[in-house]
Amino acid sequence: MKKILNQTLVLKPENSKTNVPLSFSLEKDYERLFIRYRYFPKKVEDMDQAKREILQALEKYVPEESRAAYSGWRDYAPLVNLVTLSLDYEKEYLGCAHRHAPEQKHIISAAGSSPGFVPHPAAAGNWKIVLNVHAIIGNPVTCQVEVIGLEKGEAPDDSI
Amino acid sequence: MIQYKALEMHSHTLHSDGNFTPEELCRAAKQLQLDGIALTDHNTLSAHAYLISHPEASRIPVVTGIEWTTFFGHMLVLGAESSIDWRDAMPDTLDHYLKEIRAVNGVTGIAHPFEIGSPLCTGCHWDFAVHDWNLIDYIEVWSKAAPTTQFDNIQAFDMWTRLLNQGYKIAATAGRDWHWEGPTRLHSAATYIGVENGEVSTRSICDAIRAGRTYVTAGPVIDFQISSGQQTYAIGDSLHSGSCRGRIIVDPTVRQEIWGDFGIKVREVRIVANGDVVLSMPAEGTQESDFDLKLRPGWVRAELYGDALGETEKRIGFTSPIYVE
Repeated sequence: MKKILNQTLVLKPENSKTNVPLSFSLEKDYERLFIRYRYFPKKVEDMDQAKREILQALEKYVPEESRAAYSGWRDYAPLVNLVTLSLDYEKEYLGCAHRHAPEQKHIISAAGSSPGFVPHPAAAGNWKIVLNVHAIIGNPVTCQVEVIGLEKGEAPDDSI
Repeated sequence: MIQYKALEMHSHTLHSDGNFTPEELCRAAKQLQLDGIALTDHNTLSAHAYLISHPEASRIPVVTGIEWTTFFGHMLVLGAESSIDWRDAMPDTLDHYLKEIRAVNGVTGIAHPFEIGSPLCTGCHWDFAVHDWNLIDYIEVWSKAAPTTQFDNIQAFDMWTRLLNQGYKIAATAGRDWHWEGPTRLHSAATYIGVENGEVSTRSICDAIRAGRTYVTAGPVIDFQISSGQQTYAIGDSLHSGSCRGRIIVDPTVRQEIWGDFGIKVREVRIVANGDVVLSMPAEGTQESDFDLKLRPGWVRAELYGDALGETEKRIGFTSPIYVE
């Protein structure tokens, strides 16, 4: 078991709609790669800001004649931050975990990968995680990414 | 021989943010008496990799697809023979990627262009600048369950009509954006696609969309043709302008157990040319009508109107155009 990457980033609203690459190399083949990432806070706790942002969006996107049916801003609360993780090996795109959970764990291996990623050997070479920063609203978001190389028979340590 | 088949054109599994396993999605589609689905998970093809290694999981034909879930718009890409990176597309550079997708035999459709966008749903509203609309093969004109009730579908329909009026040949589809099946069965539309010999496959569906052989319906099936001289022209075909004879058949008996509980009843058939209603016919039950048309260059399509989900005078079906040279 070897820790390959352990990185903490702070994402701000100006990082919204950008991709943040995190490159790493494997010097040898592993049986599996274990990737964990988490970001927090997930929800925008400032309800005044949430209300303001939601009402602005409804005004922008919903035509006036239909807006009466969409006036309940609370129906859209809480506003949430969204960061997804996509993965490449060399120049090959392996997939993305496009889910809303703010803490996710993934396995990459030839025998099978976590949903969102195609099966692929944890092979020596150049890898790239790309954090897809869909939305950071309000306060900065802390994002932690860890990559562990697992040998045959090793299991990911849940305490990592 | 072209046969029209019913498909769901926008669906997700737990390989992105859906709740379905691929098996469950296929089973649910089968229960809706669909002939196929386009499986279009967000930014991943891993469900398709799973289905290749578990062929017993797909009980119906599954069209290979992906939903480019970018920050500036969502785009359905079907049948691309290699992966094009969705992450690099910027608001003003999409045409480059559309050309790349086309170079690997993919077809592209704009998904839910007028859905509420950022920050409620980043990228859900279409904000890309498309410089050459010839690069767009189809527009998901109807999105979500209960599509006749959605305001954004009216906007999408108008957008599609504007583009047709500008001379672009773009097919229409519906997509439920199907992520899960709740305890209450919801109304969903179907996209009927005309495929050679009725064979549903990724290739046949892509070919049919490129040829414009689609129609969208909340229920009844539609057959729309125009005859000119000795020739008959169907949805997606092109004919010369002038006098011709139209024919439309509306059949509410197909898959009725799927949509019949949602109060869908055709009351009127309209023939629309270049955005204007050129003929309106009352309709009830199975409708079979022949009529004269005088067509100017542009396009002509059939539209169905009537009752749906407790509302009246709703648009409940429409064909992609027959084009007029």
